[in-house]
Amino acid sequence: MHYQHVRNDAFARLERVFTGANLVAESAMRRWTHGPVQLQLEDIQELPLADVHAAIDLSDEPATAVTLSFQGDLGGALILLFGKEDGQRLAAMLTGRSLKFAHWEELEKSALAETGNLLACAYAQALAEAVERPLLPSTPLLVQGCGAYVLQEALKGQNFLSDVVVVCRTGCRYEGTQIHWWLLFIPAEPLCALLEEAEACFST
Amino acid sequence: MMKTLLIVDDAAIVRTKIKEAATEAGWVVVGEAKNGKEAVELFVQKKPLIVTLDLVMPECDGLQALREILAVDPEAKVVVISALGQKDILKDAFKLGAADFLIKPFDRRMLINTLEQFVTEGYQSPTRAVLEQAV
Repeated sequence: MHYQHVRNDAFARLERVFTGANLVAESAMRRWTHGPVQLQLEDIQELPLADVHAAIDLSDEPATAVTLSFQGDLGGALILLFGKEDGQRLAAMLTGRSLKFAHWEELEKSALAETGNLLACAYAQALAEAVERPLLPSTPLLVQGCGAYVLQEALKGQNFLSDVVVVCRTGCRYEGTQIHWWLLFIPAEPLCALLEEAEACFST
Repeated sequence: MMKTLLIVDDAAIVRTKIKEAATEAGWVVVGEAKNGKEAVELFVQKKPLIVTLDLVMPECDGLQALREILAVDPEAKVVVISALGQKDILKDAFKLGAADFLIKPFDRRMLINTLEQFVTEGYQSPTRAVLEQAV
């Protein structure tokens, strides 16, 4: 049922919301890193929850997921997913510490969690403006391990929200370094319904 | 006047960035807390000139800590920190008596300007004026 809801006009609106959110996120990343960060939304697709594992090829690679849920009656969740090297590059960029650290220490984990927090807040703000309702992300929850495990843990329980996931592949360029991550958006039914009704916000 | 600062944030990276910037600008960081409970304890012990207080934390959130700090010292200068899109919680903090605010992510200049207003005679924070209008 959700799949049909999101497939139609609402998905096109979501693309526009996420493109706008990416600009907000880019501005936030520039302040956060004190540098010339460029973010590019490389791909956005809607997938059934069951197909996400196949679409994101991280099966044996160590990975990190940062999960935030939207508090309140609209619900929904955002998951930021990094492969090992991309996560290390981002942590190194934010902490100024070596890229080749052997273990993830509190500072590196915190750098990824906080990045997830600021990206989620940028996306939440764009979504909130689209549906004209407040969306407050929870504190970020960080999960690390092999890719398949991390994805499974991050998606655990999300099928109570929806059976569809919007998957965004994002590229981040910073002083010659290229970093990629996936952003997974799981909209709960009340949020899907509001996105469908929010035509006025997308008419210009 | 000794420029002393207590930093309260559950994120180590944010505490580190605030500490680096503030120390460079001549502030003495007298304590770092990961949650509201630690924040109140350290405030009582260290009596800092300024507290930077994250509002969304997993244990004893920032609003509760703000209430308790202001109950201990109604003149306490607490700069609350929130993320984008958290206007409502920011308004609540201001009504409780927060002295100013910062929106994450902030750069060094924004942080230092906000802290320095409390030791600069006659300085009025533009961010505080914005929030006063909103409330």
